[in-house]
Amino acid sequence: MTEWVMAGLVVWPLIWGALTLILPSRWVLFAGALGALGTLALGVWVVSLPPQIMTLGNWPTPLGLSWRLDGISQSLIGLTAVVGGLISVYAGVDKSCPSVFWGLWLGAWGAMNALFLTADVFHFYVTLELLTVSAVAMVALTPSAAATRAAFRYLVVSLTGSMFFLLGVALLYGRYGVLDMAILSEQMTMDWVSALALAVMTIGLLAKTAVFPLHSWLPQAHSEALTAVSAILSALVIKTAFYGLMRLWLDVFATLATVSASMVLGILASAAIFWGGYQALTTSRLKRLVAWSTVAQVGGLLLALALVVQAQATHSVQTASLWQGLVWLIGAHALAKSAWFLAAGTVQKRAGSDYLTQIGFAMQHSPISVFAMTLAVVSLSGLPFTMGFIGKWWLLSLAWELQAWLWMLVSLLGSLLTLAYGWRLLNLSLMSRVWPQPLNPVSVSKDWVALGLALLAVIGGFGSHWFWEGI
Amino acid sequence: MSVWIYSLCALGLVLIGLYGLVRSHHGLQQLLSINVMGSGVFMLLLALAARHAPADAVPQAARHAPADAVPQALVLTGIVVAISALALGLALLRRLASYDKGASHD
Amino acid sequence: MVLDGILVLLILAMAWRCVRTTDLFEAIIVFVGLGMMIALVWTRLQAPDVALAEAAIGAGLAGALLLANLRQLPEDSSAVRWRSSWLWWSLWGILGLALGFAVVSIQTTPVSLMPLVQAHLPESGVTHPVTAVLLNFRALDTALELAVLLWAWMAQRHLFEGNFKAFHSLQGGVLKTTVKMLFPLVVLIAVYLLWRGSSSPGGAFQSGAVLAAAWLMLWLAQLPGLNWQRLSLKVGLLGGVMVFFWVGLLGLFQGAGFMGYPADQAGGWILLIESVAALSIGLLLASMVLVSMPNFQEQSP
Repeated sequence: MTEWVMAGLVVWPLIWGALTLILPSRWVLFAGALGALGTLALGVWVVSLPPQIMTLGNWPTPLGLSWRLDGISQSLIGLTAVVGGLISVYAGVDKSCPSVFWGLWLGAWGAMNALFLTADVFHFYVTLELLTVSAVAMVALTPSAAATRAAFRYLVVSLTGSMFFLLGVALLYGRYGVLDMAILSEQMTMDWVSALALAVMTIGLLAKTAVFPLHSWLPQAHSEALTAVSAILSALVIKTAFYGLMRLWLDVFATLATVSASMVLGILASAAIFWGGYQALTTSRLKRLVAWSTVAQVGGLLLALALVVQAQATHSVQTASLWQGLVWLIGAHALAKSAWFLAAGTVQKRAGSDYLTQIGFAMQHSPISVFAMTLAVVSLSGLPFTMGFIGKWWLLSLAWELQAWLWMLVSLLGSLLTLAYGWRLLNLSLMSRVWPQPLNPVSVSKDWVALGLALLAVIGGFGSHWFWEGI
Repeated sequence: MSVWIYSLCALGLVLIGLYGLVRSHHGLQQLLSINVMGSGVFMLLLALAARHAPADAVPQAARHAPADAVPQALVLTGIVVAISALALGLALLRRLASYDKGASHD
Repeated sequence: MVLDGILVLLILAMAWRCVRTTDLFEAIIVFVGLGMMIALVWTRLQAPDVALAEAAIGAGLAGALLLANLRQLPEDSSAVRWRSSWLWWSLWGILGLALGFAVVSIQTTPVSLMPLVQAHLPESGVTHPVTAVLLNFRALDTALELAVLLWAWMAQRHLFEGNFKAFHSLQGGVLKTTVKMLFPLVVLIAVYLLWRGSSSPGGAFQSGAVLAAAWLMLWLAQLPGLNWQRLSLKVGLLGGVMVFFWVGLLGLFQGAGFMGYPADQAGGWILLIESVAALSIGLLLASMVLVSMPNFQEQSP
């Protein structure tokens, strides 16, 4: 039974996504909804399965491919299911979503599931490519020159990143003769070839995660896209590349992940946090602000990864809880960021404009969305009582244990910055002197979806012992 | 063995592709540069596949080991992925060109 | 050895020219030539499957795609210029040196998956190791790769919705007659490549590329070929991915694991998958080129 569920995670969305190509447009929404619903159900189901390894075609690794179901992949699949499901609801209600969105989105979703399941480095590359093609195409759904330009730039950066990753795969195969992650991590030794492989694969994935200095494609791509697409990109797609970094640094290349290597990650992360925060504070457009926030938050995730690498390298902290913290942070960010983007998109639709100076009236008349945005900002800043708070608490206590004062400081400053640019946005809804403007009619259900995600970011924190002890 | 010369050629292609990506004046040339990089990585994989099979082996001689089939399969996959990405990139460039043309007529 | 050296120098020179020239037409032509040279290298490296695919897809179809698109792109582009600085160039240099060192040091490591492949080859249903790896041992890789092709087409289809208007051939009668004679031969070659794939170099991808070339020839000669609006053709586009996954699920049902086959039936299933996949690949590749043709008539939104 479990094998059917795991197979279904990839096959169900891809088959329904492919079918949308031939169905008449009346039926596409139906097919899309069916695909989304099924994938959501399977994704949630897989969380309850026991950890296991499934070899495809019953071929033993390293000859064949294997799928690995452990706490991390289960959590991320489940997260993708919940967030993806709610974004699908939003997209279903959004009239500006063209019917080809569903085919592309289901393809991306299937690719993400396959990515989280795989334990083979080359297969990881293939799933990453499927995801890239779908994501780039989704950015280009917006009928504007700016969006198409952003999509092309996203494609070029993504492909270059993939090439670097594949180069690393080639080096690994040349050195070890296997492609399976489990076997590689067993056989990994500290030598120049392996270090170079780690370096180039990291560079490739950093470009895809939009970490400073390879981040410049993200603000355009995420802000020009349709609202549902922005949410998908910021909350989910970015995390797949970060997940790759996690698997590489903490699993495959664990032998090579030294404290000095973690310093490099930490420096890049800090640069991302500050630069992203600064840009979010000074930009004049709504969705651009949220996109720059993603750059900063991804820096925060990378900082957490650097700390975890340091912890593993020095063996000073119990290893089991390290993964959980990272997954928790990913989850908190995904929920909060998707809520923020959906709410921002709704407000933008109402106001008819993306500029911060022109959305004040719309914000005052979108109480549900503004409340969702507030909750999102609170969670992202790490204020109580949210998932973000628990994540930040974990991060700061880890830094305390490792005596990494610099990273602690960076993390706290990052929270302050988040609060600052979040406040900058939310302040617009409190201003007293705003000129009345005609508002576009936008369905209220969109506000509720955003609020739903934001509430999850808050209540996800309660009763979460099963997560912290279960993995 | 002569195979190592292809490994060096491979990394030459990777470096040239990377250079071309940064210095290109046109989106199409950027796509070409990425493909050149890709060819470099493929060449590295295939050179690794042929490491233990001498390139000048008589094809039917049973003594000589055949080349490693796994990198060859990987490269085949890579070629198809590369052309898919190329096609998508070109479509985006074309769409962009039609927007710019439309804008210049206003 | 001397041949290899000349080939390497030629390839590096062509690659350099391709990325340095400011004339896009020249860049494309050099790129196609580069692809052909690289196909030669693949044969030198004892990879005939890959050589076939590179020549057909990497050089041939890519060339057709690029040239078809070139006409409609402006000379100066609105694409991005990247800022380069001494920092980037020093990193580039360091990368080159590090890669050179790494590549030289792995020349003699005696590791490979080939012994495992050969050991399990009899159970795989085919006798050609590359086909066994692609369609059996690492089947999901190939299935997802077909999905990449399909999704890339999906994206292009959305960007350019319209009709494939007939292309007005300048050659008139000569081209039409030639194509009429060649078309059956090309299809035969495609089928042969497909059939051969289980025991010698060949297979779905090479076959599909040749099929694509055949359909493009028909279209260029303005012969009644395929009606691209018909549902059956659209179904053909999906066929490869669909059949691959359905057979994969069937394998799970029969106890051979997801994306696996029962040992005695493996050969038959692989042939079925390859046949449908070749058809899909051919249709997808041909469609991609046709969408780029200047005579592609867009529907007004």
